[in-house]
Amino acid sequence: MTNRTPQRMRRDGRAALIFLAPFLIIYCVFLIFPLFKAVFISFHDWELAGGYREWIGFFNYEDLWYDDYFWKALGNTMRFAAMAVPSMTILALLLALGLHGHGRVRAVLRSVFFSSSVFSVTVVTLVWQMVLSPDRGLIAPIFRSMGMEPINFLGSVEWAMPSLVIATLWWGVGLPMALFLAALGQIPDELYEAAELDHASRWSTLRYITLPGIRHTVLLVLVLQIVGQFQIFGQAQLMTKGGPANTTLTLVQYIYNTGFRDWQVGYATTIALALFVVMAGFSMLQLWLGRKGDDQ
Amino acid sequence: MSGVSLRDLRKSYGALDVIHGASLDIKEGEFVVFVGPSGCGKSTMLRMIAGLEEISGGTVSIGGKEMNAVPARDRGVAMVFQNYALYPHMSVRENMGFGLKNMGFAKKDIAERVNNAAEILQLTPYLDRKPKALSGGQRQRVAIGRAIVREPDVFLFDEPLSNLDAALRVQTRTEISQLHARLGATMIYVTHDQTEALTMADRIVVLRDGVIEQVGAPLDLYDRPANLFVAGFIGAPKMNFLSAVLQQVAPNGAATAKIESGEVIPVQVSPAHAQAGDKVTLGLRPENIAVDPAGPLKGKVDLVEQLGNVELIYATLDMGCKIVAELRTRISPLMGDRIAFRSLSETIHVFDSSGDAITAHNVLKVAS
Repeated sequence: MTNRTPQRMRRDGRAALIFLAPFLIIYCVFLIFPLFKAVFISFHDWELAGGYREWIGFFNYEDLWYDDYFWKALGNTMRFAAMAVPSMTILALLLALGLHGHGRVRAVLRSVFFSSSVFSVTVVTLVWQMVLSPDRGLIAPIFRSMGMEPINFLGSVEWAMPSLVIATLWWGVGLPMALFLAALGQIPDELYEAAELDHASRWSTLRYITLPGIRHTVLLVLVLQIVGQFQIFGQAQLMTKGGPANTTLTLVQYIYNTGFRDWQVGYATTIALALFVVMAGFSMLQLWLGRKGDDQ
Repeated sequence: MSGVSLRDLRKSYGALDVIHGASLDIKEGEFVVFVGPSGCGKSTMLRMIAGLEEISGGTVSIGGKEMNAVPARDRGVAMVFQNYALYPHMSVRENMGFGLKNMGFAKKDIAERVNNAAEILQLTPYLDRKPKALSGGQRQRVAIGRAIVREPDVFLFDEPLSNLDAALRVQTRTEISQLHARLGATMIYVTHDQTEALTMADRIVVLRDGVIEQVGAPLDLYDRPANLFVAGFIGAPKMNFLSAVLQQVAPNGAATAKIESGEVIPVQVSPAHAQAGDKVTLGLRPENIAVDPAGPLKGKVDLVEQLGNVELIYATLDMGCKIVAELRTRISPLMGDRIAFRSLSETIHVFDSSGDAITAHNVLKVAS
């Protein structure tokens, strides 16, 4: 420790800065700057093309407060997230619990369940449109065989949103499953052996050994899912176009429509910032809850 | 309380055999230590007794009942793992009470047993801590406590001291021995450390490559090793080995062995197993070697280690082999000095060309 002179510490600091520079530059140019630019834009009436920009103070925020479409889209997005996040997390966890361990069948199934993640949203929505179509869909014959009229899932007010959730689950379950599998692999076998000698049932092993052991991953998956599902766009845009009757209009879709269809970039940015605040709030809540558990 | 009996126990992973038919009877209340170098199969054997490893052949019986098909939890055993395997999210109290809770004990009984065990192991102040807030020694005691509260028939220890520092290892060793005296339960203890084996065991089982080499009381193994492996494994510093040829063997077993330097050393062998001209290996315990200017083992001092109570002299004999002598007299030769040793003939072990002991006392024991 004797040679940690101020001079040397300055040199170390410089070296650290040089190594960090590539990341910091990218982070500032593509994240920090746009964030502040967005705040700046949100105080303007700012059109996508042309040079029309006018400072209007908090007018966009006032508009937002009284905008029924915004509240509708926010409500829809939260409804989607409320369905997709827990079901995705539970489904991924169940798959991981089932597919964790040795054996060829498990290895093959792990790849199968992960493989849907590599498709683009266009492919996924196309597949699910084909599955859910009331005329030629995969499910239609099942309804007919039971003597029922096939449900028009994507055209029905009740079923459109759950259909988007199911397509999203099918598409996105791979990554959280992989995260859970990695976390399960970290729990030492000895703990399970000790639990076996301690007469633990399968349920109490899950409750007292497995779940506490992967708690941080559960939290990570929840945060990733909340952040991801609040940004749902492709599925709604391609499968339902926000319909029927705006029941699947999501926030990002509304931002897209406002900014790129109506050219109102100033207002679109304001909505985007509102989405940012909602997502940040939920993520903070999750992290806070997670830390609280740690302190106990 | 129950004894444990192994009959022709085998374990193989695919084509690889790791335990080649081990048979052993462990008496009720006995403290038996499995010892051997790493990879000898001692932990595997323990895990087969616990029910954590499938048995490829033979039987494991506990308390006279065959256990091959009985799940681990129903064998009445408790195990202390090398890495403790404490549940990280539970307090010490919950860790110790988990098994009882699963077995449906009343809360009051659980609390009573946990408190008793905590008192025995001096863990009472730490009952509400999580394992991560404990030192290695305390964690080890929690792991032992978790085993005690269940009042099992058989305790199994899988190298429980290998993660502790030297001082703590000695202390915990003593504590486990005292615990055995107090509980009187059957204990099977696995270690690669022959000192632990010698200090703790009622009986030691020496294993090599999945085969039981010798079973016996610590001093039996030390004084009458059955073969070169046991002779070299038990005892520190290790036994010295010298190649020799038997010169003459009298009917009463008195014989002479000529070592490579041409010197002749008197030894005691079993006349039924030895004859003149046999190639043998002589085994000399370091503490049975004395410095004697007229002694037959002449060489040069390589190194002298002072341990305070004893002095270890490492030397290379003129015939080329290395030797170590443990002396209680402080003669403190210098490195490079010429030196000569002799050994008492009744303490010289003799092994035949296949490595089996043919020393008179060994064979007498086998015959009896």
